[in-house]
Amino acid sequence: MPPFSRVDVEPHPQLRVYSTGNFGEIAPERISPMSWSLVGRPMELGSRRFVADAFGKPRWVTGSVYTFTGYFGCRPYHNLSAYCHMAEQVMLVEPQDVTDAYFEGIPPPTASAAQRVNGWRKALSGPRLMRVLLTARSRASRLEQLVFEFEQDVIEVARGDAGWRVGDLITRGRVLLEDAWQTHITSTSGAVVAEALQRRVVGKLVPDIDAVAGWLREPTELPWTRLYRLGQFRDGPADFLDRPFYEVADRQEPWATYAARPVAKPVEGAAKTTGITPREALVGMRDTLRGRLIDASVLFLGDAMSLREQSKSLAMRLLHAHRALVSELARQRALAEEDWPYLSIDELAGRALPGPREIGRRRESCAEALALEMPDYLDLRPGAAADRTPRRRPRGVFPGTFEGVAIGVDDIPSEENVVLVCESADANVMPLLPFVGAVVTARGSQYSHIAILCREMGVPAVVSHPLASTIKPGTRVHVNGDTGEVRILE
Amino acid sequence: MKVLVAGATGYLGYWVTRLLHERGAEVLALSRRGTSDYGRGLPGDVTSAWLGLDPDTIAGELSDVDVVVSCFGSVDWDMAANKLVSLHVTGTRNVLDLAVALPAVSRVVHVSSILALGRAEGQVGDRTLSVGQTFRNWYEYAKYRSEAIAREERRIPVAIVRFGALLGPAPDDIVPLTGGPIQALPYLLQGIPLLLEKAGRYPVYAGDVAAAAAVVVALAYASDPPAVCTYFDPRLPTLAELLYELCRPWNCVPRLVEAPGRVRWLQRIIAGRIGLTESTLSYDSPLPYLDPAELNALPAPAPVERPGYVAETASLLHAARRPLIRVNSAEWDRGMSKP
Repeated sequence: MPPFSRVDVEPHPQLRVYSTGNFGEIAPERISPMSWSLVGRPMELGSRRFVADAFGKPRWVTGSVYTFTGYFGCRPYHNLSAYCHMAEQVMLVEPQDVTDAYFEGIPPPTASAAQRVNGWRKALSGPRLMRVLLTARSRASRLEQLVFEFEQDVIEVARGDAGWRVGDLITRGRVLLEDAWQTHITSTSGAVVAEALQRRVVGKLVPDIDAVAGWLREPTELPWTRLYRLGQFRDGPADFLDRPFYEVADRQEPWATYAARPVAKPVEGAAKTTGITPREALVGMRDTLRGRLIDASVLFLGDAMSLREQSKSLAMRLLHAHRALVSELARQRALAEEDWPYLSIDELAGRALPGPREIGRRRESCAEALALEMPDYLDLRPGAAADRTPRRRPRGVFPGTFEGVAIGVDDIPSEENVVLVCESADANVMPLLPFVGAVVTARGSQYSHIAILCREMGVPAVVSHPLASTIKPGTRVHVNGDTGEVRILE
Repeated sequence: MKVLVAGATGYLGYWVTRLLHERGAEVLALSRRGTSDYGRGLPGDVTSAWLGLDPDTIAGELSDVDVVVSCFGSVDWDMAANKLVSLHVTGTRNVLDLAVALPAVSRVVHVSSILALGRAEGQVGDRTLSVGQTFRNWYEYAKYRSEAIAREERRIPVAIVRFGALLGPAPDDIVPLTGGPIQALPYLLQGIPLLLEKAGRYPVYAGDVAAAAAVVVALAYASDPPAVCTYFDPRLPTLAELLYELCRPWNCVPRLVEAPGRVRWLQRIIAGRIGLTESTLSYDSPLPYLDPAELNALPAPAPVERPGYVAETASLLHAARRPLIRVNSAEWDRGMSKP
């Protein structure tokens, strides 16, 4: 029962079902309070701004209690009730769409008692949401420029040239983080809306939508290839790819053990080429008007996915910049290196630092919490069963069948037909993707990052499959990206 | 000469195995059923790696195969799009991978289709595959993808041959009812008029299936086969001619009506109601133009069509009394749920 540790946030009074979702697949299992203050709090504020833009300002997103995120036992959570509640208020979208897209297809919780919009306000939410989504791309480009300038200033400070600028940079960083997470949540929600729209529109134009739906989720250009190419520059924008995502204190124990992630080594060679893609073939089969409508729906969804990846890369770059900034600030305030992970960024930059006794209490409390098993699905409603884990459904995210030998993330693909099998994957496996024939992960959903990457590279992938944790490297597996079937051969 | 034929129980596959057997080659006929009238039947599946054969067979029987022929996949045009494309793409890749792995294989013969060129404009030839075309249905796209894979193959020589609609006698349960002029038969026999551009007086590059199989066999035996060639009946029978001949055993004259594009659009709207599939209707306008001189690229000996092969196909279907459209409930649920 909450609170699990001294640094936890309070659970929301009405929206009480939490699930790790994306945090469960790719973020470290536990993150330090400092990382939480750089991830959770700006994400919360960004989400509130997004909901205010799209829905007017409903009462349930105001107040000092975290609505969209949660931090229990040093583990970050998404508030599943809040996202499902939002989904109910948009026409065409169901809560099941949200769980399919980001929460591994678990059944959504029953409707909560928070205030909802009805009638004409509900009908207005659609156009407002569209307006927000359509302006998101230009905001993201401006944000990228600002993030780059921020990174350069932080490098100057870290080199020791301008220590007095730390305070100014902290303030700028806070605003940029909120912006980045707001863009992220905008595009994340946009992907769900775009898919619902596509199903409706294309479902009327094409007789067998289920057979071709897998080909219509094609992201437009993703930033990771571009960033990997910049990896050769020291102190460049691609430095963050070598360090773990989400955890700022990745050099301090105990957070370093949770943050350890293998990074794929880039492999030389040619990528796969195709002529006309199935989407282009489908567009060409119809007459011009229908083809254009199908194309438009694909581009809308593709743009949402691409924006999601771009905003995530910006957020990770900002976190990486904060690594240097926070170290410098702690040094200026005469705080030990192993102490600052237990503070939040506001406390560190604020007037009065917590004393050594408070920090010691937090350290102990976190150590106790780390010893606890924090489940993926946390149902804090009164009268809910304590250890109920909803079943996750395997999902094929890019069509195609493939048979090959399984490899893990650390291995270099030496033969032709390999299948990447891992617990969860993120942009760190991007260098491997041109050379694998299929991907199977144990965690993941329709629009998680690995799904988007596989769609861009055209690699058949199955996410959220229970067998993925048991397959050892070297076994032959058969992967079917249409139905989500994974079979071990011999 | 030992030949492995993938898709041996199909329409073209039957004639390929038969002609190879008559020429004295040792034939390994791979199919899902695993039976074969000519040669030795091997049960296997092109969608699995190594065609679903176990390593002992590959190391033993297949170790001295000289040529691999790939002629699978023309059976069901109305299969779900992703399954159809995946069948052709994965299947072709698996056949090529197996051919490369076998030690004695010197050549692969890949059967493609003129329809891989889709709705290309103007004149087309053997040299290019991607000419900025659009496709009428997923079968054409699947054939395009499989030909693209065969063309990109660098590890082993591949001879690609393209055919149009194939007609001609074969055991009657093998003659396909989709994928050619026979698709339109059930509606014409009922007296329903079919609206076509120029009333069907354009060539569809049909050919005799036995002559097509002879081309495949010649490509397997030839010392220096062309990389890509095309075969069709040089008399260039038009669609109207074919439909007239096909309807004759039923003593029916097909109602072919000339109509411009706008009126044909109406036909598409009511098509679903009378059971005409999209794939039938999309061939209501001429195919891209093929120069008859392309036939000169075919390997010697030149293929000879059997006289009256179209009429014989129709008599065969008439005698067999097979229903020419789907009439049982299982297929209704699968194929015709949306008008």
